[in-house]
This record gives sequence, structure tokens and C-alpha cells, in this order.
Amino acid sequence: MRIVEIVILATALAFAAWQIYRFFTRGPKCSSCAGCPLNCSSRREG
Amino acid sequence: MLGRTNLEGDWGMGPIELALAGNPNTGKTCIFNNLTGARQNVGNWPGVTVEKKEGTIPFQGRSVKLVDLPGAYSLSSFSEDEAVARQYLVNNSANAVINVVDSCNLRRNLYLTLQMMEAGANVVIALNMMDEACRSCINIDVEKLAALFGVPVVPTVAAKGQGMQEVVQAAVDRATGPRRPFKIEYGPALEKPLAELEKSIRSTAGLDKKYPSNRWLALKVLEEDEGVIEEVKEVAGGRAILARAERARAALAQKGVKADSVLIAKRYEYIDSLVAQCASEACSTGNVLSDKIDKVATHRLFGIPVFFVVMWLLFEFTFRLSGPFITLVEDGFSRLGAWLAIALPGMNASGLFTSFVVDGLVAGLGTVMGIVPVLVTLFLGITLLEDSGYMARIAYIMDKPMRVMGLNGKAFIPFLLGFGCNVPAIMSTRTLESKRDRLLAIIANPFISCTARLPVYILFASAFFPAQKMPVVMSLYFIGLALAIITVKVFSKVVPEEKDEVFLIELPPYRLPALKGVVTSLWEKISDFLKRVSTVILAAVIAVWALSSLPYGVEYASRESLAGQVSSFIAPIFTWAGFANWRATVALIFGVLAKEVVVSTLGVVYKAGEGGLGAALAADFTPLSAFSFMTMTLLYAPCIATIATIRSETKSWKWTLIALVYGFGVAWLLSVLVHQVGSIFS
Repeated sequence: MRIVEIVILATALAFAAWQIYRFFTRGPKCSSCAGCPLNCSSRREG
Repeated sequence: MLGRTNLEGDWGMGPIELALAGNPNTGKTCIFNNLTGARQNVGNWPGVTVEKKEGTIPFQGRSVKLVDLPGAYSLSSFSEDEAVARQYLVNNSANAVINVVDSCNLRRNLYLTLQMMEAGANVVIALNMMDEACRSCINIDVEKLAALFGVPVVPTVAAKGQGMQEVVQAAVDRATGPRRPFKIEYGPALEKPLAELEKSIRSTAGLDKKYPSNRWLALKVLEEDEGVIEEVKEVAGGRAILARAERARAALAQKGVKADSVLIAKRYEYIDSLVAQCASEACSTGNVLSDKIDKVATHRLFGIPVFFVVMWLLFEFTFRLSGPFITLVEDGFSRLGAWLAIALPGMNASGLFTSFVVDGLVAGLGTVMGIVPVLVTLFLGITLLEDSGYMARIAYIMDKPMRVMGLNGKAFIPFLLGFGCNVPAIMSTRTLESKRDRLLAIIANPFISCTARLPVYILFASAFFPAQKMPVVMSLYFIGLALAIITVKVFSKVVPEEKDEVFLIELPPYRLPALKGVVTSLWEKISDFLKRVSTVILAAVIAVWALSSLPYGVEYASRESLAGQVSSFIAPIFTWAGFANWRATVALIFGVLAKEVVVSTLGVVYKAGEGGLGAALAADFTPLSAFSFMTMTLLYAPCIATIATIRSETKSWKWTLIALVYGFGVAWLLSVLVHQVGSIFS
């Protein structure tokens, strides 16, 4: 397997692991602001 | 801990804090967005904001902090969102409060103004929706109102951005000036006990000067404000003051005077005299159109059928408009997958890498992206409904059926929000005053079909019910809603009843949605979805592809893969429901991360990158088992974020677990029922 493929696959797996870790550790945050009545700090400003 | 009013008002060139306060649905968040450039969610219905939000305004080289408060009708705290506003205002944290007032409802709105002024707040009135007042022929003498009230009054039209700088200028001027005491005379019957209470408060070290003013505290104690009474009880000498207030109330009652009623009546008397001097009555042509529409939309017999028709129109609009675009996106990804399946090996890419790109990325993400046209049209429809003012009518007409089930119409608002996302919907139950109602609304909410579940319905309905796509999808929404209402009824038998809550909801006039607002809101919703695709959904796609490819050397997406082995172990529990195949099971497992992942997972494990997913599904599903699977997806478990929200809002692992076990039990029973009963007829 070419080195480029290994790098891409490893990066993808690391990205997935990081995203899933972040998903489980960032607490009870919603994933979408659509229709949200809350003014939480994660909402973008400006 | 309550703060002390800064009566000196010496703020020099330091930071200034301004707050936006007012009745629900007066345009506070719209002003906040205009001034700070933020994109808070706004809507033409009460309860859009339930937490306070902070932003900054660059103003003449100064740092001005702006706090947007949830709407409140008075400073007597009832629900959690109102308590947020009241606590902040009573603390007097702001140097000035911009009181956003609906020009068409001066009398009711000024009640809060009066209470804030009594609490010592530096008030500036933003007389909002002046254009609507003009349309209703309401003439307001702004200068006279300012002179009579003794506060600056600035006319504004927040939806069009008019009067924004003027209102900030007035608030900054007010913030940097001295605070002016404000007092209403409540008549000799009440002034005497008030003076005695003030005297007692002055001599109680823990209470003297602790609240905005001693008179304010005396008023609150006399009118039995629950929040204040709880705080006073904790202070040394506080109970003696409460006892004195109790005696005063008893003495007044003997004379036929009810203290809290007199206080309210006197405040309205003050407001009425003021409004009579500076505002004309609305002409009869005022909100004639709104009234005419409401005669049908809120009719006790036709209201609910009209609601169903509106929902039908929403889905009809969504499916008709998005249909051709779905085909376009799906075909695009299908062609891309087919091309890459040939092109990559041609470039000497390994089989594993080709599988990653074609079976993983293209199949997984392509299946999810196919839903974007539906979401755009559905979100557009929802945004138009939100801005029109119809949402408040839905809550109103649902009051009766909800009461039969053990809740009131206010609890229907979280259900409506749940059609978007269950997380904010569960958080919005904070607007409910009763803890019991909150718990019932939280447990029932995951049954409401959020938009993340729509991709699953679209996929299966298109594949197995192409001619009846819309009725099938709509039926799932109604099954979810019906089960949510039944759940309320079931749990209302278990959770002890509290005193009945009165349901009051303001029905705002119908408004034509503003183009800018619709576009901003639509973009917000779509960009949120795309953000999910590029984060958690992409991560799940990669994880499912990896689990379907391991252990190394195994045939991709076979029963022998890791995903296949684990799912094959669980799959038999779905035998009676008609979809005991491991691919469906792995999709349900990963779907707990986020419901769109059900579709992307199916795309990955069915190798949809090289052909259509619909055709691949036909090998494992019949129309009946497809409907049973959709029912399971609708009900089986909320996503992780919703589970965490149930835990944080109920503050109970017990109720979180009950909600999960109950949800899965109902989902399993119903999908088994669908398949078994359906099998008899098919």
C-alpha cells in the first residue's frame, strides 16, 4: 500500500476517534441550533 | 445573593452593562441580534428565549455589554425562564434596562415596566413594533409618555432595524446618569402597613439595603412573593418580618381588602391614567385580518383539523419541491461512486483504500447528503410557520386535548420544538411551572420525530412506498405525536399531581415573514446540518467502515466482520419485528450517536457507493418490515445528546433510565405489532 493511502486512512481514523471522543466528553450539548430556544454559549456570534 | 442598587450612577468610562427585558414576543432577541450582530433564534411566538444571552456592542469607543433576558410578564417568578429574568433584574446587575414594549399592547406591557422601576432599575423604553401600532391606528405621544413616566422612550421597529442606535444612545446616557427613585402611592390602607414593614426591614441588619430598596422588599413580602419569602426566611429576623406581613394581611382582609389584588389594581390604575393621556385606542380595522384567520385557526371544532391541513400542506410543499433535487443529488453521488470504483484501481490504489473512498465516504455521506433538498424545503416551511405566528395558535388549540391527557397547552410548545430537535425541546420545558408537567413533557418528548429521523423515512419510503411517500412519512410523525401524548397520560397516573397550572398564551398578530429573517434562519439550520455531516456523521461513517473491514482480510461488510459479528448477536431480538438482519441492527446501534447516522451506516454496510441504496435494501426488507424498521427508528432510543439532556434537565439517572427502557419497550412492541398484524393482512 502506498504511503499516501496509509497517511489518509490513519488521518481519517484519528479524526473519527477524536470526533467520537469529543462527542462523548463535551457534555450534554445538542448537535444542532436549529429551532433552539436557548441562548447557549456555543451559538455563534456575529 | 441579591445585589445593591448603585444609586450614584458614577460609571465614568468603564464598561457598561445593558439588559433587554420585556414581555414575551416583543422583539427583544431581534433587537439583540441587530445590535450585536449575533444570530439568536427569533420567532413570532412566546417562549423563543428561555436563557439569558450576552453580547457586546461597540459604541463610541466604549465596551457595552448587552444581556438578552427571557420574556416575563411580571417580576413575580413562576417558571424557570421567568425566574432567570427576575433574578437578573432584581439583582440590578445592569446599569440600564432597555424595556422592549409592544406598542400595540401598551397597557399590559407597562406593568412589567412599572415593576422594574419600582425595583430601582434604570429603565429606557423601546417602543417596538411602531409600524404595527400605526397600522392599527394607535397614536402614541412618545414625548408625553416619556415625560409622564419620567424615563426616555425611543420608538423602534426592530424587524427593520429602525431606532437601534437611538435606543442604545438613550440607554448609555441613562446608565451613566443618576438613578431616579420611583414610587407609586398605594393608598392609606396599604401605605400604613408598608411603612411599618419598611421600618422593620431597616432595623434588620441582614435585610436592610440588601434588596433594590426596603420599600420594594416590603411590597414583595406583603404580596406574598414566594421567591422573596424563601430568601427572607433564611435571614436572622426575617421570620419576624414575615409574621408582621401576615398580621397586616389578616388585618386588611378583615376590612375586606386583599393586599395583592389592591397592589395589582393600583398599578393598573396608574398605567391606565398614563395610557389614556398619551395613546389613542386601536381603530376597528386594527388586526382585522388576524382576527378573521383566528376565527378558523383557533376555532374549537375546526382548529385541530386546520392544524392537520397545515401539516399536510407543509409535507406536500416539502416533498413536491424537493423531489427532483433529491434524485439529482443521489444520481450525482451514485455516478461519483461508480466512477471512483473504476478510477481508483486504475491509479494503482489498493482495494482497501478504494473501499474506504467508495463504500465508506461516498456511500455514507452521499446517502445523507441526498436528504439536503428535503431539509431545505422543510426548514423553509417551518421557518415560515414560526415567523407567521401560527405556532402560538397550535399551542392554544392543543390545550384541550393536552388537558384530557394530563398536561396543558403550554406543554405542547416543547413538542413543537421537538419536530426540529429534541435537545432544545427538552430544555424548553423550563417554561413549564409545574415540576410534574416538566417531567411528563421530558419523558414524552423523544417520541416526537426530530428532523434527524427524516432521512430514514425518506430512504425507506422512497424505496418501498414510492407512490405513497408522503402519507407514509406523515403517518410516522403522527404515530410519534400520538405516542408522546399517550405517554403523558400513562405517566400522569404514576407522577403525583400538582395544582393545576393556568395556561395563558399571547396570540401575536399574524405577520408576513421578513425575507432577511427567513434567509438567515434557513441558512442557520442548513449550516448546522452540514456541520453535523462534517463532524459526527463523518466520524460514524469512518468508524462503521473500519468495523466492517476488520479483522484484516475479512470480506468487506460481511457477517464475519467486527460490525457483522456484534450485530448478528443482537439482531435476533428483532426477529418478530421482521428485520433480524445484522445490517439493520448495526445501523440502529450507531444511530444512537445521531439519527442521520442510521442512513449513513446503511449506505456503508450495503455498499451504496456502487449503486442505489434503495435497490440494495430490497434484498433484506419487504414493505412491511421497512415500515416496522421506520417505526423502530422513530421510537427506539433518543440520540446521545438527548439522553444527556434528559439527565441534566431531570437531574435524575432513575428517570433517564426509565425514559430509555420505556422508549425501547414501546418501540419494540409497536414494531412487532406492525409486522405481526401487517403479516395477517399481507
